[in-house]
Amino acid sequence: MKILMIAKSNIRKNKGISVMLMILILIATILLYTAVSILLDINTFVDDKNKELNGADYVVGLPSEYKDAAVNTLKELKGYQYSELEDVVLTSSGDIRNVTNDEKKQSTGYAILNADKKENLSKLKIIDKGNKKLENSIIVPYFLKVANGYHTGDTIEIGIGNKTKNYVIYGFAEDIIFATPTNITFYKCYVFDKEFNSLMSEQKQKITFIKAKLERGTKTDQFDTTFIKHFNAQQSNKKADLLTLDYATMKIGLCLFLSIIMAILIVFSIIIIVIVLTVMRFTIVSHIESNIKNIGSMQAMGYRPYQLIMAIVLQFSIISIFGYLIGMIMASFSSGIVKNIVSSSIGLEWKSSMNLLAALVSLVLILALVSSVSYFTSRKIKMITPIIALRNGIESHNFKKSYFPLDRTPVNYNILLGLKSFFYHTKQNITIIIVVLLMSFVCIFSFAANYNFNIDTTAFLQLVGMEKAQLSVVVEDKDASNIFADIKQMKHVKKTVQLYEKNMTVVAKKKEITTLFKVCNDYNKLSINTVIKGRYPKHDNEIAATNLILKRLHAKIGDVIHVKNGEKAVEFLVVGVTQQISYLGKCAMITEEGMRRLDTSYKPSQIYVYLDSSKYTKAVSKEIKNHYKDKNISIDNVEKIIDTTLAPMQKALAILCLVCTIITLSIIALILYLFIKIRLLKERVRLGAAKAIGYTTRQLIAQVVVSFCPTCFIGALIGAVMARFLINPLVALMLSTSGIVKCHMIINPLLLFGTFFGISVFSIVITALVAVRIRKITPCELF
Amino acid sequence: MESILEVKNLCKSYSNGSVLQHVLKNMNIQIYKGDFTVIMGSSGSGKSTLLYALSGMDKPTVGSIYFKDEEISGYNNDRLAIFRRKHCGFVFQQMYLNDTMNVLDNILMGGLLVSKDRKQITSKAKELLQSVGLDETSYDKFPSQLSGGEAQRVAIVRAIINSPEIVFADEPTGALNSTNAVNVLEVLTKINREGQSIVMVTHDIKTARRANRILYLKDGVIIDECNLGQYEKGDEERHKKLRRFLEEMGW
Amino acid sequence: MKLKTIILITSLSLLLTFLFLIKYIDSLEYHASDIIKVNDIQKRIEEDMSKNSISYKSLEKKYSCRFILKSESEYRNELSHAIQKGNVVLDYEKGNQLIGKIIIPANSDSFVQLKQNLKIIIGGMILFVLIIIYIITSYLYVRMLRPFRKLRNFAMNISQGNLDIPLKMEKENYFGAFTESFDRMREELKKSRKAEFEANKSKKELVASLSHDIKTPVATIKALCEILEIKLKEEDALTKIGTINQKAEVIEKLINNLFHATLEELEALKIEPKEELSTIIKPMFMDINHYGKIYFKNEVPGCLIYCDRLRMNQVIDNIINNSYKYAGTDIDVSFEEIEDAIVIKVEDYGNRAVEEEIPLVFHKYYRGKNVDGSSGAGLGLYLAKQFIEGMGGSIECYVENGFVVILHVKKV
Repeated sequence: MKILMIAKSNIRKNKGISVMLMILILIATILLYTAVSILLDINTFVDDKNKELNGADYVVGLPSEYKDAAVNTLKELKGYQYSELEDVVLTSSGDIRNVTNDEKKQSTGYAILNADKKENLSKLKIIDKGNKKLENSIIVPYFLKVANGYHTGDTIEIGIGNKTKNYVIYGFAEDIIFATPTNITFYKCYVFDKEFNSLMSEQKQKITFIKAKLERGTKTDQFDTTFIKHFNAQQSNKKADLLTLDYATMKIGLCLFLSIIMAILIVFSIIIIVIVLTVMRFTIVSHIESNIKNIGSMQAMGYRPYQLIMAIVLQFSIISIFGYLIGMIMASFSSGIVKNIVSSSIGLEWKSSMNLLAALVSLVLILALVSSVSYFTSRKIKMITPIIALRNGIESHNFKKSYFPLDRTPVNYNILLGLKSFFYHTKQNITIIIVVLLMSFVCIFSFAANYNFNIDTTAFLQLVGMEKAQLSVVVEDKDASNIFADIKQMKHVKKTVQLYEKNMTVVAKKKEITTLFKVCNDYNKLSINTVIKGRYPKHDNEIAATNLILKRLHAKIGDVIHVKNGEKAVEFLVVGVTQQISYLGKCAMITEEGMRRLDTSYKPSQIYVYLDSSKYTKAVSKEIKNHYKDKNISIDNVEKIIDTTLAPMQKALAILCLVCTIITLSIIALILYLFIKIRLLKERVRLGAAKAIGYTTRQLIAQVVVSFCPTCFIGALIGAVMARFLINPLVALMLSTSGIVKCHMIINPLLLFGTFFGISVFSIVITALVAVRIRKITPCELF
Repeated sequence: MESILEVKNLCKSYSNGSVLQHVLKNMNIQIYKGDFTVIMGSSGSGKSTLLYALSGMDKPTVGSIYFKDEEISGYNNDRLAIFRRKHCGFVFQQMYLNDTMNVLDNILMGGLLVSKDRKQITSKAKELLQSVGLDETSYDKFPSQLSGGEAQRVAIVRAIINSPEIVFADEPTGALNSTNAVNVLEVLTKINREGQSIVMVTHDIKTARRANRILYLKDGVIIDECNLGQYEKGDEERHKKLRRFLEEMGW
Repeated sequence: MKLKTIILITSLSLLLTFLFLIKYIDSLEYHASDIIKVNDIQKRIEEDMSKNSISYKSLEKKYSCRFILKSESEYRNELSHAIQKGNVVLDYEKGNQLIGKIIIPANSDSFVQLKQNLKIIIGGMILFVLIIIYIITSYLYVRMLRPFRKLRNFAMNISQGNLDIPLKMEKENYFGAFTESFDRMREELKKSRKAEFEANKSKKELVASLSHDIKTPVATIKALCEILEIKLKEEDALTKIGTINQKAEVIEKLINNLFHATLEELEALKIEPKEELSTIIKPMFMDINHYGKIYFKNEVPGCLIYCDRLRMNQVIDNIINNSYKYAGTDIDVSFEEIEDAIVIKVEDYGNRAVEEEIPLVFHKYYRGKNVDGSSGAGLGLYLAKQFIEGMGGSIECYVENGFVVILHVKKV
C-alpha cells in the first residue's frame, strides 16, 4: 500500500503529463479496440449473415439456353447440394441517379430480379420496408442506404441500355455476393412481377442465374475452377459467356479493404502507444533526475529500490488502466459511427457488439508495453545509493560544452540564446523529435493514401489491376474487327486497345490455378502498367503472370508453364511478373497470337477507347451508339465505373485522412503544450532574471520559440524523408498477402514539403501561443 | 548634489484577497548620483517592494518616479524592460545566473541587449571580470562550478556591463559566507568609488556600514535617514553613528 | 558513450554488414544466357524469315547470331565448338524438318557484371569497416588517451607545489568526473593553505574587537543600578502601589470606552478612517454625475489618504446634491496636493448663494433661504463636516462665482 501511495502522489505531482498520457492511451484504446474487434468479427459476421439469408455459395450467370447444360455439369461435381434457377435482367452498362437527393449520375451494372418470386437461396429480406407497394417500386442494395444515403421512398432514375426509368425505393436488401460495387459492379435490385416481366421482354439476351448451395467445407473458389473447366470442355464448340461468382472469393474481396483500413488503424494506434512510451520514458528519467535527493532519502528511510521501481511501474499502469477504461467506454459510445463506416464499406448491416477478446488484447498489449518500458527505464534507480543521491547525482558536475559562444558567433543574440537552450535540453528534444517524426509520417501517409485514392488514382489502379480508359466497347458480332477499326478512326479518339478476358487454367509442376487471362493486342498502349519485373508478352509463346501465381507454381521468369483451355494445353515462357489485387491477384497476360494457339476461333470482342479528353466521352459514346444501332453493342463509361467502384473506399479513406490529421495535430499540440509548460515552470526564475536584466516578454517568447522549433523542424523533416522512402514498401508489405510486391504510390514532393512546412508552422504557432505565459512571470518574484 | 532618481508620493498596494494592503505609503525619496544608498528596515517593512518600484521592475500603484527628468511610472512592461537594460543593473541575493551558459555568456547575455559591437562588449566584459578578481580560467566555467562569492562577482559584472546609471542590489551578501561577503562588498565599494551609484537593500549592519546614506523604512514609510558621507571608510565614528542611528530607529 | 555501447554498436554494425553481404551474394543469379532474350530473337528470326526470303547473312548481322545448316560440311564441327563455348544452340526448322541450327553467343556480360558488382560490394564493405574502426580509434584517443596525458602533466605540476595551474575540464568523458575531482583537489589544497593563513589573522582581530564591544552595555547597567539604589527602599510597598495604579488605569479606560461608544451612537455615525488610495475619490464624483454637469479640471494627485470610504462617499454626495438643489449649474472640481493633505475644490455658478448664510451652512437643521420648496432636512453639510473632521480633514466654504466648497483630506 505504501507503493500505491507513492504512485498516487507521483501522479498528482505530474498532473499534466498524467492527463496527457491518459488521453493518448484513451485514443489508442479506441482505435485499437475498434480495429481489432472488427478484424476479429468480420469473418464470422459475414458467415452468419450468409446463413441468415441462406445465401448461395456459387452463382453462375449465363444465357438461358445453356442453363440445363450448366445445371447438369454442376450436378456432376463434388460438393454440390442443390440449386435454384432464376431469370434475371442483367446489364453491365447502366447508370443510377437519386432524384430526391439530386445526386450525380453513377455508372453501374444491374442484376434485376423478380421480388414476387419466392426463393429459398439468397432470400430477399427487406430492410426499411416502405408502406405502399407501387407499380414502379424497387428494392435496392443496402449499400446505397449506408454509403450514398438513399432512403425508402426516394425516387431514383435508372438507365438500362438506352432507356431511363424512374423508380421509387421500396426497401433495401442485403446479399453477400452483391454487397458492394467494389467486388462486382452490379447492383442487385428487385422489382415486382409486372415491371419485371416488362423489363424481361425488352431484353435481347435472356440470362439466368443458377444459384447453388454447396456442401459445407467445400472450397468455393476451387469449385469455380473445376466448374469452368468442365463446362468449357463440354461446350468446346460453342461459346457461352459465363459470369461466375463464388462466395469465398467475394467474401475476401468484401473484407479486404476493410481489413486494410483496420490494419492502418492498428498501426496508427501502435504509433500513439509508441509516443506514450517515449513521453513516459522522458518523464521517468527526468523524474529520477530531479528527485534524486528524494529517492536517496527514501532509500535511507528503508525503502528498497525495488519498491520505488514498482511505484513508478504502478504509477503508469494506473494511468493506462484509467485511460483504457475511459477509452473503452468511449469506444462503446462511438459504436454508431463505427457501424456506419463498416456498413458503408461492406454494404451489409453491421451489428457491433462488445468483443471481449479484442478488449483483452488491447488491454494486455497496452499494459504490457507500458509496464515493461516503465520497469526498464526506472531500473536506473538501482544505481542510486543514498550517499550518491544526497551528494546530488552520480556525477557531481556537468561537463557541458558551450554551444554558440555569444562573443564569437555573429548571429542575433536572441536566436543564440534560444539555440543554447535547445542544445541544453537534449533528452526533451529527442522525445519531441520522435513524436513529431511519427506524427508527420502518419500525416503524410494518410494524405498520400488519400491523394492516390481520391485524386490521382493511377497508382491505385495499378495495384488493383484496372485499366484506365474512357470507354469500353463490347461488340458481339462477326464484324467486330471492322467496327473496332472504324472506332479507332473516329474524332477525338486517341488510341484503342483490344482487350479480351477469359478464365483459363495455368498448370505447372502438377499444380493448377484458374486464372483470369487478359489478352491484349498491344500491351505498350495500356495506360496502367502492372509489370514489376521483366516485361509484357511480345510473342505468341510468352506469358506474364502475377507474382501470386508464379509463387504458387514455384515458377519464375524464364520458366515454362502450361495453359489449359478446356482440354487443350499449350506451353508458355514466363517473361514478366505482374501484380494486382483484383481477382485475388490471379491474373495472367498473353498476346493475341498466344490466345489463338489456345483457341483457334478466338476473336476480340472488347476494346478500350482512349480519348483526347474525358469531356468527349458522352459525345463519342453517342456517336458509336448511333452508328451501330443495329449491332449487338454495349458501351461502358470506364471512368465512371472506376469512380463507382472506388467510392466506398474513397469515403472511408477521406475520413481516415481527416482523423489522422486531427489526431496528429492535437498530439503535437498537446506534447508541445506540456513540454513548454514544464520548461517554463522549471525556468521561471531564469526567465524572471532575464526580464530583470531588461529582456522584454517578446524577446523571451522568441527565445522559447527558437529553442523548440529546431526540434519540430528536425522531427518533421525526418518524418517526411522517412515517408518518402518507407510508405511504398510499407503499403506493399500490408498488401503482401494479395501478392503485391511493389507499390508505386505517388508521394508528391509538394505534399512532403507541405506537411513539413505545415507541421513546422503549426508548432511555431503553438509554441508561441503557449509561451505567451511568459507574460505572467514578473521579475519581482526574484526578491 | 545631482539627483538621479526621484520618487513622489509613491504608494504600492497589494490586494490580499478582498483587503487592499498598502506596503508603501506616500513615499518621497531622492537618490543622488554617486551615492551608495542603503535601505534598511525590519522584515516586512517594504524594503524589497521599494527597491523594485524604484528600479522600474514593478509599476507603483500611485505616485510617480522620475529617472533624471524622465517619468518612468507610466511605462508599460516592455518599455520598462528597455529602460532597465539601459539604465539599471541588478544584483540579487540568489545571483540568478543562467545555469545553461558559461560565465562569459552570462555577462554577454546582458551586454548584447544594449551594445551591438560584439568585440568591444566582449573585451569590456573580460576587463570587468579581471577587475573583480576573476581570471581567464573562469570564463568557460558554468555557474555550478563557481563558488558563491565568484558567482556573485559575475553577477555584479553582469549588472554593470552596460554602464548603468544605477545599480540595485538586494541583499547581495545574504547567501554568502563571511569571507565571500567581504569580497563582494569590496567589489561594490570599489565600483561605487569609481562613480557608480548604488542602491542596496540589506538588514546586515556590516553591509550597511559601507554606505554613505542610509534610509530607514518602517511600515511603508521612510522614518529617517542617516548620512555617513563625511566619514572616511573604516572610521570608528562612522560605525558608532550608524549604530546610534539604528538604535534610535529601534533596530 | 560507454565502452560497452561502443563495442555493442561496432559488433552490431559489422554483423549487419556481414548479413547484408551474405544476403546479397545469395540473391545473385547467374544465367549463362537470357532465355527470354533468346526466345525473343528466335521469334523475330522466324517472323522475318516467314515474311520474305532474307539471306542468312543479313539475319546473322541483324541478330548477331550464326546459322549453321545441316548441309554445310563443317556442321558437326561448328556445333560441338559452339556447345563447348556454352553458346545457345537452337533448332532451325522448316515444316517440322530440321534444316540446321541457330547459334546465339552466350551471355558473357552477366558474368562480367557479376564480378564487377562483387568487387564494388566487397570494396565498399571494407571501406565501411575501416571507417568504423577509424572513428572508434579517434574517439578513444580523444576521450581517453588525450585526457590521460593531460592528467599526467597536471599531477607533475601539483607535485612541484604549483597549485595555480588549473586542469581544463572537458565535456562528459571517461575522465570527466575524474579530472574534475583532481581539479577540486588542487583547489582544496590551495584553499586550505589560504584558510590557514586567514584563521591566524582573524583570531587576533577577534580579541581586539571583543574588548571594545563589551564596554558600552556594562556602563549602562552601572548607571541603572545607581538610580535604583537611591529610590528603592521598601520593595514590597512599591510593587503593590504600582499594581493598584495599573488596575485603576484599566478601569478608567474601560469606562471611557463605554461612554464613547454610547455617545457615538447618539450623536454621530461611526467613522473609521483607513489608509486608502487617493484614486478612489474620482469615481465617487462620477457615480453621482447623473446630469453630466461635473467637470474635472485636473486629475487627483496619487497618494495615500486617510478616509472612510463610505463616509467620504456621503460627504461628496451631500456636497454635489446640495449644488444640484441650490444652483443647478455646471460643477467644476479641481484637486491640489499640499504638504499634508489633498485639497478638493468643488465650485458651482449658482448666483443665488448668499454671503451671510455662509457661517450657518454647517449648522444642524439649517436650510438656505433660496430653498424654494425643495425637500431636505438641512443635515447634508452638517454631516459632511462631521464626517470629514472625523477623518482628520476639514471643510470650508465661501462664495465666489457661486458656492465653493473646499475639502481637505488628510494624507497618510
